[in-house]
Amino acid sequence: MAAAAAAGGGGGAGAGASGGRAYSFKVVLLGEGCVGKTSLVLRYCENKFNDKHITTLQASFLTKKLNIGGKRVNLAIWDTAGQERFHALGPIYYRDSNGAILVYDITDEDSFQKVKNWVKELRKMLGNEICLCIVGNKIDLEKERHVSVQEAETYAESVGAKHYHTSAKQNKGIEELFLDLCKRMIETAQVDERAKGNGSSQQGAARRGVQIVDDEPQGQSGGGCCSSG
Amino acid sequence: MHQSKDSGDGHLLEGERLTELRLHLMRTRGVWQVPHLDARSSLDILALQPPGSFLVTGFGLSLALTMNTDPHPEAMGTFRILETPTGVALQGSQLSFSDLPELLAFLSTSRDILPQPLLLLPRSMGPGVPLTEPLQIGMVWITSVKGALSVVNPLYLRDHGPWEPKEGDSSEPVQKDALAPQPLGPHRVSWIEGPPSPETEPEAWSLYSLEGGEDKLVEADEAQDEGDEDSEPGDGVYQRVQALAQARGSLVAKQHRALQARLREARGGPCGPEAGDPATELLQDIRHLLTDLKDHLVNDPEVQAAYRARMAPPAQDHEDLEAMVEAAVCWVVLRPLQPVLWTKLRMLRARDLQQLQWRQEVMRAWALQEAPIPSPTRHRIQARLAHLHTVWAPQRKVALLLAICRDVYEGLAQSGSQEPLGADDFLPALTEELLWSPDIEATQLDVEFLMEILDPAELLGETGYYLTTWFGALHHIAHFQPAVSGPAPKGLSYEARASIRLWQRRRTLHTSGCTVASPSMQLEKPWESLEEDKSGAEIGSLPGAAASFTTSDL
Repeated sequence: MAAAAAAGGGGGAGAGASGGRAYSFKVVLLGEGCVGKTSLVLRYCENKFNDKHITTLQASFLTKKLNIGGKRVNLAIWDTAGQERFHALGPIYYRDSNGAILVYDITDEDSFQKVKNWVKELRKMLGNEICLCIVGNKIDLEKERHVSVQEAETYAESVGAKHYHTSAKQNKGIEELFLDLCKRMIETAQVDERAKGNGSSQQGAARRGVQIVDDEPQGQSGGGCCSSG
Repeated sequence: MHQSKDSGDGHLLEGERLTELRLHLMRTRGVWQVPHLDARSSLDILALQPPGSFLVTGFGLSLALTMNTDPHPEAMGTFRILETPTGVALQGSQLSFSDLPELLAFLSTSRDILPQPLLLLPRSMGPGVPLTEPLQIGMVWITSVKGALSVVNPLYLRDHGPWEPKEGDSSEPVQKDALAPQPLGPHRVSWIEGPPSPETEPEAWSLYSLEGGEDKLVEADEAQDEGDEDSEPGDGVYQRVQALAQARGSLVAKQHRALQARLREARGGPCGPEAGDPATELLQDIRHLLTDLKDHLVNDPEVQAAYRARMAPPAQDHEDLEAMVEAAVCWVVLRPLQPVLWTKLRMLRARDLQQLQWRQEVMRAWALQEAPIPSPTRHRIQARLAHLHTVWAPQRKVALLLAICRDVYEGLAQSGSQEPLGADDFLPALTEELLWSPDIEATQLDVEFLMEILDPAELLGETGYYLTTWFGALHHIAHFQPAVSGPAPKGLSYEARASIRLWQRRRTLHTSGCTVASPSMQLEKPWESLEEDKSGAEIGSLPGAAASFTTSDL
């Protein structure tokens, strides 16, 4: 019974977009364990008393409704497990994502390295259609910083990502991060719509599904690799 | 050493015993014969099993017997099986047998050219005998032998169930087993050193008996919770759809017949290099058909009239009508075909499912070493998992699947934090629970079924997230590498890529409908670039993992 309610809420955007425009965006959260991914989105979505989900104990899948300059946005935030042993599952989570939030802990150099690995993989798999946010969390621990601000910002710029500093503990920088990301995703969606004419305006899912395919149209040596595999 | 006590007693019974053993082997062929597994992976798996455990891999010229030769480190673990005009024989042996079961039965009582006899512990387990839940049993072994060997062979548990919990208080249960090959001595010796101490056994049995009781409680709970699935819906929308299905010339009836024909086909779908996974394509075809029917029926005047008659105007909306029609179509078209569909899916997926089951066993053995404390909600989860497979309606399956997710969170909350938890906690916990699924193959099929059959729009929301996570957890189990705690394999394995490509492909098919050829070809590219140079890798043959996982590590 919870299922029906949850399903209806999540899937509404695709079919029911006719009356007034609503964007439906999927955002994937990536980053090593313990960097504070969950606290970050929990802060943002304030899910604690939200009974729309299967249980209030869960913060793996969170949603948020926004209104940005008259545009309605439904955000679905997909958390991922940060443990290395689950790394190979990344693609099943980030496929069809409009945005990715890559979180590291400013006191942990390794976690920044992990972010770099994710960026590389995402760019390779999804190209430039996905909006990337690199987030240095735990700025309340500034004294123990091990990742320099400049290094992080320069890196983000070099890969076409935006960089943010947040503290889930002190609720700093989080609103700004999500607002910014939503604006960028709207822009990308609009550019995309214009480029594609009016082809598939109704099915958000179809649009995203096809985008991935369209990313790298060059190098059609597909026949060779298929027959060898 | 018990292995050297060759051929002592029981000579008179030898012939009879061999026949029994052979029959047992014939019944359990799916357990010990894994044609697609290579010998190396087979040795990896067997390294976690007790000495004498074996598998038969390959086919034709590559047919081989692999075994755990543990107390004989110098011995080879792989023996070629030659197919002779009259049957089969081990290479280098003078003895020939009419078939594999006969050969193996013999080798379990007499070692011939092997370093030791094969370990074979037959206790007949017909299809009607339920599998018992292994973890508790595994824990009992650990506690009762104080860690002499903390792994219980999952094969044994699957094959035979727990050892005789109902037969009373015997510290040597094995001797009652007339079928046990005597040369091996009491079979528990193969698993642990020394007999389980009598004082701790009653504890084991109480755990065992407790479990059955609780299952029933949960089932009752479930039935109450979710109503009776088999009561036919009585509303007008349903009746109209039902009537259309029975009217010969109607679209519903035509589609129904098309689906029946589709299920009778030998293969799942079209062949050729562009053909995808047949099981997936079958499910996708079913989804397309359901969608066609639904689109047709929501515009049917009589369906609309029936809907309006049922609902007061303020409650009416298009999505609700669609949901009702979808449920009715599922009931009328999908439900009668469900048994055939599952049989078909099991057949098409046989290879993957077998791999999943093998990896599950390997992983269970490891899990027992690392975290032998089950979550507080495990019994409930297992009962729900069993229930999940017996219900047919997609929406009911989803409700159960999400209820299990809720149980997992509750289990986590009971053993720790009260804060809402993210995927860092949830995915490992779910994986652990699915690892103990009473029928992991069925669980896998349930997940795949839902991923294809649910309305694609539904997959964007919470249901989609949790289905994805289940798929991921099962994928993790199916590709478990024992060396995973060491350096993880770089990049995606061959299987991971293949599987994800399929998933990508099915998503693309779902949403774009007709562009079959191009997406999969283009998707080939990015995955290609992530690939390591392991062309033609076979299941489980990751050299790094295999090398770092040898018997000496145990």
